[in-house]
Amino acid sequence: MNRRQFGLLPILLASCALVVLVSFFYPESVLPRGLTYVMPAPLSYSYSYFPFLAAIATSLFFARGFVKSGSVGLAALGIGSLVMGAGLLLPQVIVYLAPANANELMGISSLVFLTSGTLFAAFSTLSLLTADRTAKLSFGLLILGYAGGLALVALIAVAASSNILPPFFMPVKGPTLFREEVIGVSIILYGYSSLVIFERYRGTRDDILFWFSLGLAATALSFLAALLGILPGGPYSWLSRASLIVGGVYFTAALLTAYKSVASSTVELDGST
Amino acid sequence: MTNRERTGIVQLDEMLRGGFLQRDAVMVAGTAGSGKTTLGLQYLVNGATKYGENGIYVTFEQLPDQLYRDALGFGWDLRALEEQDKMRVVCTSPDVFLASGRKGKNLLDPYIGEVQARRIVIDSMSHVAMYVDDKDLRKETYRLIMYLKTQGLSSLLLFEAPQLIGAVGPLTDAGTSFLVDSIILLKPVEIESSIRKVVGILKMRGSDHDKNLREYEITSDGIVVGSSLSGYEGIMSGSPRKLQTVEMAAERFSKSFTGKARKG
Amino acid sequence: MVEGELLLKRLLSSDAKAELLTLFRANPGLVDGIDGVARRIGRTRASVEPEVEDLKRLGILSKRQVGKIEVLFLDRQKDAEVQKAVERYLSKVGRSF
Repeated sequence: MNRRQFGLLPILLASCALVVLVSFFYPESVLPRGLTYVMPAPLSYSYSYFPFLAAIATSLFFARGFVKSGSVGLAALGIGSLVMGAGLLLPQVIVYLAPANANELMGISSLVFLTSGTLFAAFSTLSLLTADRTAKLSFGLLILGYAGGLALVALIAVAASSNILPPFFMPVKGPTLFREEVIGVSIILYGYSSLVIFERYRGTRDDILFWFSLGLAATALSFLAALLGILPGGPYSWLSRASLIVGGVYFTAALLTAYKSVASSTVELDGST
Repeated sequence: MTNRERTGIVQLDEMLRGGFLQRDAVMVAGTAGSGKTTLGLQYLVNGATKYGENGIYVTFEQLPDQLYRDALGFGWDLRALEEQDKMRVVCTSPDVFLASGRKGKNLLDPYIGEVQARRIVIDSMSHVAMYVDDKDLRKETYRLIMYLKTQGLSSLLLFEAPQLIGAVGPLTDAGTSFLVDSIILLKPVEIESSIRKVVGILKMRGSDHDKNLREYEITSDGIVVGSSLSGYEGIMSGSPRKLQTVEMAAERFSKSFTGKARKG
Repeated sequence: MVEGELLLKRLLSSDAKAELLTLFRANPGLVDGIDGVARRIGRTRASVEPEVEDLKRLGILSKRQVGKIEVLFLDRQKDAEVQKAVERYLSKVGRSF
């Protein structure tokens, strides 16, 4: 592990420790209300823009990799990244387009992240069972998979707004047990995927895997902070947002690592010998 | 396949859409060590052993015993093929070769008759060029090519390209590329600090051909042509650069997850 | 002196002749002018000319005209006969020891 990697890792670990310690000793219920800050409505989800872009870029990279190799695992990663990105932006879009209550927004986010977590975990499990390529699939099936991911997100949004799902948020009472269960499972799925990919990094020493696993870990931390927080705009709410942005940074670092490794191998020969 | 002279090198024949056209004069240009001789021998050996087309190898510098030894390294027993009258290895000097046909019989006539040759390799035309005045080079080359066609021979004319690396300069000095029917280029390129070899068909009169540059290797079984050298541009100019860095970055990114990444 | 002995003496009368024989036997497809042949064994025309003439007289090397150049080549049949004669002689010599 080089200095740059070592330098950023404590930020994540410190955040985890902070969340655990603070929540143990200072639950949000006892925190002064003055410590809260709620973003005004149009910008309430602006923190998700950067992670959204990182997630979409990642999904496109995976799509390219799938087209080249036909690996089902890559398709799962790509669709998972796409769904995660959609989950990050969708609440903002809904808030812009139509009035939506906290239950709907929370339901959409929670279920979308659960879906993306499932896909990441599916790849991670596949990668443990098989070496690499599992099937040769056509470009058309890739489009189908990606479209299917987006369709699933749309379905979740429709289901959430149709009130056919169990409640995720109750006015006055706050987040429901169901929501906490969904978030909890998402934390486990993201955490599991992060560990599996980190383990792969330890075997290959490939920096791309290092950053990607940190990205997943930061996203899991974001869910953990959201789970522990009860106050809108409270410290855990902000920790959750910050972790999401840090996750976006880590995913971007993974993409940049890949880009740099390719760009640095450009060769110029002396044309006149 | 009709009207085609197959080389027997699978991917190369695919590039040629089945093989060279019959009686075509094919220029094979390449630098030292690029595999011209190997390609020429493989063309003749495959012709004799696989397609019933006997051949003649004309060499000016390399002695036949050295060719026999080198060919054995690929599992080709040229002496045995000579004993079976499927092949002849003729070693002579360029001045003799040039003098041939001016008066009386051509030097190659007896050999063409002995083995009923259909193929011939001249190794190399660059040696012949050294014995000809510049002003006569094109004329002499034309005379040779027409003699070979008249004898019904499909010929590979090997040319030495002078530049090892860098841009591909003029392949010959006298515009010989205009006289031949096809041109195959064998070129070493530097990619990621290693020397790799690429083959390309620059010209093929009267036929479609693969426009891609393909990587090839000289293996223990002879020349093996691989896949297209995709993802690069500027190979012919001597400055291969990776095409579409973002695309390549995406592939590199994905490879990490399929377990094919290099160890860091 | 028997035929085989005479042949052997003539064939090995000089280094140049031995080199010429080695060259043509290892490269039966060699057909070249005397300048080219001399060059291939690292010698000059003048140094190989007498040896070439003797090998022509023995019939091991044959000649034909290619344009204005007289080219030399191995007469395989005659060369095989000469080799057999030498072998017969050597085997007799060997038995007498």
